[in-house]
Amino acid sequence: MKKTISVSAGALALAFTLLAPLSASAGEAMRVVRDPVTGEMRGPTAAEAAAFAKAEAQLRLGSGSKAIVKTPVEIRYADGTVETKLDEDSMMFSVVSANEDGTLNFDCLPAQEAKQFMKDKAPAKSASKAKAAAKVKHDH
Amino acid sequence: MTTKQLIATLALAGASLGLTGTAQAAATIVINNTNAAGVGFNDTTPATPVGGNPGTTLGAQRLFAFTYAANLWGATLTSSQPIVINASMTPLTCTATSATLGSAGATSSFRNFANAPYANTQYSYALANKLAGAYLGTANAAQITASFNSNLGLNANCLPGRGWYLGLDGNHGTDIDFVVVLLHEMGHGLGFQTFTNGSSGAQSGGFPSIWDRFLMGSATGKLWYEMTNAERAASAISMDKLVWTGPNVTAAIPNVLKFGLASATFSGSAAGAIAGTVRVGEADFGPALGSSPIYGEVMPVTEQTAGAGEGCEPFNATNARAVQGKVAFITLGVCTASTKTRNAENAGAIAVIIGDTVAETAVQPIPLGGWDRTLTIPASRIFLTDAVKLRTALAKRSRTASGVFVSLGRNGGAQYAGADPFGRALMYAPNPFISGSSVSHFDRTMFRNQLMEPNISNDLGQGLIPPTDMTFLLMQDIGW
Repeated sequence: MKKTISVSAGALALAFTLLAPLSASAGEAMRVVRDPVTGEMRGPTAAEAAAFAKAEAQLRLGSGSKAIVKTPVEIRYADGTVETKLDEDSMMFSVVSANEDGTLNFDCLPAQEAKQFMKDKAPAKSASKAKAAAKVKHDH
Repeated sequence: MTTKQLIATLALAGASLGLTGTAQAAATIVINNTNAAGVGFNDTTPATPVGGNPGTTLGAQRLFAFTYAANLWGATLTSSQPIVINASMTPLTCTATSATLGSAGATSSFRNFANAPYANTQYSYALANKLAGAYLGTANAAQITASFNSNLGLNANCLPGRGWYLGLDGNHGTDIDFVVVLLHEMGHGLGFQTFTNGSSGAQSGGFPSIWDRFLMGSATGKLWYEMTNAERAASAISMDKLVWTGPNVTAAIPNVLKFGLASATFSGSAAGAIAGTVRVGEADFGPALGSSPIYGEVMPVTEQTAGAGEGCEPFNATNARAVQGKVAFITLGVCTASTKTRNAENAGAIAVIIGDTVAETAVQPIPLGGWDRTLTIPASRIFLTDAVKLRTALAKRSRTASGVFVSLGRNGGAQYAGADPFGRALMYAPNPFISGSSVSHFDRTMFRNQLMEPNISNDLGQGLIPPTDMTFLLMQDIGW
């Protein structure tokens, strides 16, 4: 069975097509590459294979936050199944901050808001601003 | 790097955790420990077994707690396909007073797979596998990725002294219950979220999530997948007008949520502008407000030492005389609300009203956090605007009487706490929009508190099913 990976950013210079043996759930796939000059499908060169392996490793999201895909990727399978690789923006982050009285504020936010939350709590902020921010979230 | 793969066994979950009601549930959760040797889940720092967690190293305790939480989910869900979680504990962003606890999410969504209940609809990876009855995508790919903070509480720059509680019994005290946070974040990874952007209303790839087929704006009567982007964006900030229409959750509401809205009804010759009924936020500590109201005269507590905060010290004779047998009114701040309530209780008060100090845009004051489970009198929070009115009304009191009375209870409306008048669960839709927190959580007004509210309440247990929790029922609504 055939599946096509679409990468919308410039992470891959070529469009790779995977030929998997049986179904969308099948394992290792044969790799073919559309030659950028001739337009014909052929086996990958060593460099192309290495680039593909690197991109695929990123898609697997398999080793913690460093491997999170930054650009949404869709994989279309021959049976009509469509897989959308989810990036960090689809993940949920638990954050916490301490109030002056010792109680804690919890919240569950996506990546960008969680980063902003921590940025707002950073020591570089003036004491008054940090205090104001703490008062906005006053779950005690 | 060493990778350790664990299968969260159902035997452990079913036998030792005492779960009920899901006897036919069966889902195998595989945990890929992606930490390197000596760190995270492999940290060899000696540790003393705690709260039913038998691990003797920090890493072993972390992994045991993670496996325990996975088992709770595994014993509840049903799937013929394994659910693989790539898990790690790494240093995450911290300051002395705040921290990123961790993150989790589905690695992929799928649509138009075999057996999909709805075409052109996005399903989270693990749910899609269950519905397809096959392992979609890349062989052995993880369905969920999860990473949690390994530094929490362990150094001066990462919320010192407030580390993970790695016990399994919920006795976390002032620490942070790892198991509960894991359950919440795993829930998102398993499908408790929409992939639609609530702020813009844009659907992921132009397709609705299965979530959006059950999410309804009660102001328009439209489900989210039927709305335009602009309508969804408006619905996401509609406060108490965003509801869940799934039949499983709706049917369970009477068994899980308290009937009646927590409220305070003020009366008396001196009540003035505060006369009438106002919504209150309940406390995570002490007894809940019941259907039988607590009635009493309201007396304010004065600050005894300048800067020490109202109610933060054991009451002196003046304050004790004022609140004996009455409802104490205390302003929020300086010390915890539970400390104020403890001091009021010791002085003979029958209940406590905490006046907020910050204005907020919500239909109900947020709950009072706290972890003291030994308190015997209820406490509740009122909005800043109501607190100002009450303080004004109390200004002419004598030392022992105010002429302002209050009835505290669930007499604020004929509906369940956290549901709309038609008995549908409210979903979190604050105004302004809080991306991520919004739409993909139960509303914060739910009582009893629910695992999948955006905040972690101190009184949460580890249940995923009624009578304590509706998380699994919502998962069933979307196809689990």
